[in-house]
Amino acid sequence: MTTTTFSRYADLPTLVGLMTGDEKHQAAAESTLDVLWVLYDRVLDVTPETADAPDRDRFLLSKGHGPAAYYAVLAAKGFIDVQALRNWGRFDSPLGHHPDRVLLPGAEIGSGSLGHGLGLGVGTALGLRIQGRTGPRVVVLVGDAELDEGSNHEAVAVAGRLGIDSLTVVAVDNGSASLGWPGGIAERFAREGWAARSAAGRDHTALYEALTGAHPGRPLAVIAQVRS
Amino acid sequence: MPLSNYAGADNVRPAPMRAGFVDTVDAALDTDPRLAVVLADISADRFAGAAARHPGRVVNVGIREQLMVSVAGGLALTGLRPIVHTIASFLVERPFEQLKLDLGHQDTGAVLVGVGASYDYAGAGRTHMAPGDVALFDTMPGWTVHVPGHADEVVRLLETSFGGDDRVYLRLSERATPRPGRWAAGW
Repeated sequence: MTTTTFSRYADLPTLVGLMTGDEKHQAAAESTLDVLWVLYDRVLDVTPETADAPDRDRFLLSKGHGPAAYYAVLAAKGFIDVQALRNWGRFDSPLGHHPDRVLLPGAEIGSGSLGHGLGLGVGTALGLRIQGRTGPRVVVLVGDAELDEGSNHEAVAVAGRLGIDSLTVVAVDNGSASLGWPGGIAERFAREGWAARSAAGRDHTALYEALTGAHPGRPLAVIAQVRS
Repeated sequence: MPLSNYAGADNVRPAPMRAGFVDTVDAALDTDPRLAVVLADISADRFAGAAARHPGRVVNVGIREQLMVSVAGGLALTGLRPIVHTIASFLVERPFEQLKLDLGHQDTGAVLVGVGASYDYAGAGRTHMAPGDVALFDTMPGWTVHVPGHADEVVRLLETSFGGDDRVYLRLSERATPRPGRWAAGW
């Protein structure tokens, strides 16, 4: 049974606090918290009951570092037991310091090493297309510093050339790339044929509109701007 | 299936293993909807017919070997059986972390088919030599390595690999024995 306790956005700081022990400050610092909430609350068509359904939407957390916000949202949505959060990172806990799809219900990939989720997302989207499953979306979350990894750029180019419009990248940009991205991240995607939009990374309405607006024939990149 | 398909007309000079690989996959795509081929330009011309008959199921990502392996991992996550192919050095060494993580760590499978094993392309220099491929696979759990000696063996090994979801490496060489050997499993 999905619990109705701790299922609201307002509960997320408490859920993060079960892991970090610092209820207010740590939760607020999670750059991905609002993006993850909007995705799971309003955008993605996936529930604990459909977590293995062939036509579910897929969310791939490529930036596996600092997964507390991800685990909190999965707990709020009933994918994992709230009590499991208390033991995260301990021996025998399925909640590691990086998510592992083999251990964690609802996790589509195991991540940690940066620059793997986007390529896996391209393959997932192509696999669904091959099987005629045109409904599901594949959403990959990356960080702006993660884009340093060259493997991402192989995926960005090919997704654009092949017009994989079921694929969405959310790039959470908190300005953490050591050498920066002059001109911004969005134009890198746009140059490769993506529909690219920026949105304030804490603004739920702006994120929702950016994530759900039409982008026929092109993959979608949403740059979520978050202050570091 | 008959063993003589790739034995060559006079049984002296065997037909190349790569031809056996391409012909087998080409035919299997017509009957097995789980199969999909992922390429990084190498041998893409040989799969042009299959690509035309099965739009989308032969994916050539260009000269992007990291993405080639990652795409295979994603295809497998949707239930397909990816066949991944290029020259051994660029299949195993360049995208090694993708093999480790996008197949192994995801617990997905694929059939990897390398050509130019070991020093086959010695004239091309160190960049195209891959004497360490098997040793590298031995560092990762869950892989089965096949080292066929003849194109007929390639055919049989492939056909037994298509139905699974495990991780398989076929080490094809430009050199071959005059006749196929006894059937033996990989390790």
